[in-house]
Amino acid sequence: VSGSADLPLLVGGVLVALGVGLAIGAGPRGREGAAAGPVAELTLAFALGAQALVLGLLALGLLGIPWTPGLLTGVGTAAWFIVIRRRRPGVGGVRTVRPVVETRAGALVWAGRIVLCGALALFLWKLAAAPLWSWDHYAMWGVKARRMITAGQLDLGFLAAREFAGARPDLPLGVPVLWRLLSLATIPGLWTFEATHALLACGLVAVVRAGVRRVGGAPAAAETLAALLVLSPLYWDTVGVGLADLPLAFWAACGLLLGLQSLEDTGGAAGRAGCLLGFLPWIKDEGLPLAAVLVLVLVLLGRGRGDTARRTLSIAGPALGLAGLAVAYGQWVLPSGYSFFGGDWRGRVVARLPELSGVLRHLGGILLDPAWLGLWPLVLLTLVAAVALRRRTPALLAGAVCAQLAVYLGVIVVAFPPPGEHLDASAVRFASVLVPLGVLAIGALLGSGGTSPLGRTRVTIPGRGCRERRETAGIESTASLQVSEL
Amino acid sequence: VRRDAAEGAPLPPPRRHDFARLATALLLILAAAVLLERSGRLLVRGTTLDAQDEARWLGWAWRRPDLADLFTRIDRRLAPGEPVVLLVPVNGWPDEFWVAVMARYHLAGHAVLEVRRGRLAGPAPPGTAVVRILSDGRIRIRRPGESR
Repeated sequence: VSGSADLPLLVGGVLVALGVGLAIGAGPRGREGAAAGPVAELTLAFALGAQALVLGLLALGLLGIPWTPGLLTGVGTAAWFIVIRRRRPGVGGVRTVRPVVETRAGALVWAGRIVLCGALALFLWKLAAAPLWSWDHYAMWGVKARRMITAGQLDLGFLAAREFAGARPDLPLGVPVLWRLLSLATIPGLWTFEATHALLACGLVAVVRAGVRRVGGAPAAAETLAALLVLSPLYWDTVGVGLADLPLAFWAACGLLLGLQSLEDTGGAAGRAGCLLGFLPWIKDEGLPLAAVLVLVLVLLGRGRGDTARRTLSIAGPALGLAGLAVAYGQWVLPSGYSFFGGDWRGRVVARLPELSGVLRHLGGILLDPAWLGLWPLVLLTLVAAVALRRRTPALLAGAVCAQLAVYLGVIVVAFPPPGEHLDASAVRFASVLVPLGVLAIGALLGSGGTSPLGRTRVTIPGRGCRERRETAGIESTASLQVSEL
Repeated sequence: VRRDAAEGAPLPPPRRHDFARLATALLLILAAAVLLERSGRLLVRGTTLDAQDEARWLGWAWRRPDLADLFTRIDRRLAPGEPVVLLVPVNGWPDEFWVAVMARYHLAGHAVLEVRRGRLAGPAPPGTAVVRILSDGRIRIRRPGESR
């Protein structure tokens, strides 16, 4: 299918997902206002809408209800009708507004923006020029997306066939269904996979920029760290196109950003953050420990901010619920595949313990490759510095990176493939998922979020029923505060 | 002294801002240098596939640039859902396993029952289309029971 034929379908798919996301209360007109900036808020809305639709389509598949372009178009139209008709005066008559903080962008900010735009342009250029894709796309992720529907019905029967044994039928289906959604239930063509990758990559940049600002980073740091993200192997290594690693990083970053917003907001941000994080196990198996680690980070960041129990429940409840459903779906709906932990895993662990230093050296060799631009030593340095300086946010974020890497290392030691081959096959892609998290940790350390977990000032304007938040982190002292919509 | 209204802690000293600005500037220089170096390479070569996993995997996947076109042509000549047995030339084509993976990917609406080099060992199962790819890229499709 040519790109020109795929484009209207992709635009339609994105509009449907965005409409559903906005209809369920996310986005710039949500309760928290455009807390992360309009682009990041629209990205969060898209993530929530796409996730809701993916899970809805899988549920329809279980019920035998066909997926058709008409069904998706109808859902999208209804969602946009709700969005357009809705009037949102705010919570309980109180309008939460976002003050306009006027800052004069300095030379460093502009330089950062130029480098970020250049890095994005370079990434898109390479994406268009590179021949795609890797073994995993043809044999696993892509083939599932292209074959999962027969005569409009979700039909996973092919996964049980002998010739698809290498397709890892037990892997989560979130991303194949996402591609199917974004092509409005038609068979996704080559262009759709590339365009979806570009779309999520651009959305991730917006979310990470907003995330760095949210953890107290200055505007220049946000632009610079976003540029480093785009130059990292998560983007630059085009083997990831058509695989699930970038989507996993995208949803993890969206969940984290919304979770960070929820630390200051009283709206439904915490619940929505939990939903986003609960979607991670629907994308990849390693999404399960990643979701657990990120929920823990958000819970720990929220400690001492009041109403800890309610916030913990709001984040962990949906995350646990959706993660549990993902495990149940894999257990009872998907055909069983080969398990990394099959055979005598205890014997393997005992036999490999003496080789652990060699495994660590091998992993270190991969992570210290110049392609990473020194990111991992920086994250390690961030962890040490944050602990020494008692900076909770960067310490927890960098700690989350290390925890997830430790989980990966554990799997390498326990799983049946020889550790060296296993590392060569997966370490780059596994680590690349953690780049946004590492970048946020560095941003938090560079920011002035040391006094409070988020380094922000809460301002109440008496008599007007409006609660304001003024960013102090990274803003020059000459910043002036204007209040709009009063 | 400016204070955080929520927690009452003093705001960070300006020295931290200086450090953050310096660190940001250094990271920005690094990013700009990498951007320039990669731009130069892309301009000179058209594309660069030397990232860690690219070097490892793309060689396996991208062996025939004409593959998507070829399977699109085959797909157009098959009946919807028709099972397929695929025969590829003995020389000039990668191994059968690779061809089978690619065929199962590109012929999404069909069951690819078998991929062989050269000839079939026995009669093709009834109801299947035997697709022969010739070394010059032409395609011949035969169905059991059809006259040649």
